[in-house]
Amino acid sequence: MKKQPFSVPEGYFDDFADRMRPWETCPQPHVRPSAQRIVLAVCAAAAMIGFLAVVLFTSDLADGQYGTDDIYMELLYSDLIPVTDPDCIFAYEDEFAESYGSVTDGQNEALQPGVPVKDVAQVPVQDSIE
Amino acid sequence: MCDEEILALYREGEHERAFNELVKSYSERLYWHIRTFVPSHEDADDLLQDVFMKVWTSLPSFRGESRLFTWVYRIATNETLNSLRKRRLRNVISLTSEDRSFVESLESDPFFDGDAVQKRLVIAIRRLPGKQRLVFVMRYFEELDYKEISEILQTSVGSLKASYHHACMKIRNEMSLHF
Repeated sequence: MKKQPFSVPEGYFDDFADRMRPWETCPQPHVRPSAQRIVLAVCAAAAMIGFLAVVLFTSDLADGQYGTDDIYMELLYSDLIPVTDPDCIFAYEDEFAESYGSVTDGQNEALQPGVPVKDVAQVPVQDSIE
Repeated sequence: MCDEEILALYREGEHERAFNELVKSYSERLYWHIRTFVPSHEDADDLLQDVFMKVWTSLPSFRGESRLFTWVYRIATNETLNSLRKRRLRNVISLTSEDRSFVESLESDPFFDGDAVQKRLVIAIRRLPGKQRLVFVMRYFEELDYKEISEILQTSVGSLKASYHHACMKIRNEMSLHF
């Protein structure tokens, strides 16, 4: 190392190490995981959750506890149709027609496509179900 | 104490002792690394303390992917460049010529003990752009090889050689104006 044209006070370097006591004013910080490690950890957790979900879902199907039709019906009728007549909700079309008539007859004009919404309220509601 | 021993001491939990050994190993070297970039000994002392504060707070996250020497030098280099930027901004705000203020402080510096030629050399080095100045100081005064400088500055050896060559040309031109 070439000498630079500067000098230092006598004993400067000997004293410097004794003066440097950063622990008295600044404790060492806790090391946070790097962003890369956090992303990897999140991806690993998501993959594990996904795997468990697939295992549980496929095991129920394999057991026959749930058929796809059952799931479909459950979803179809869950919260989409107001519960006014439970039998109406769970009846299939043939049974519905038997009880209430076909959707194409005059008693159920409101259900016809093209009928304006405001006219629906004008159609008399069938009083009895019999 | 060598770098491996310092790191081993640190990992054993002897943080303060390891840090103390690190300061003893590197303080003089880092002081001369910084000195050319600041106008006075007091500024160099302040900057050196900042460097070691940064080393202390960053030690827990040192993963050993580079050598301790490279890592410490990189911190010192970054702190030096940051200090240069702040000083430049202060000079702009106070409308002071950076060059003039450096020459004035050099002439009044009690710790400058060079002759007229060395004074011109220091001023010529001072006029180099920041990174070119770094390369020149590390190669010429600190006599580091290009591979070591490349690890510290994260620049290719080819770029460093080009930077050093341009720095030498500028300094030679500057010196030839006066001698």
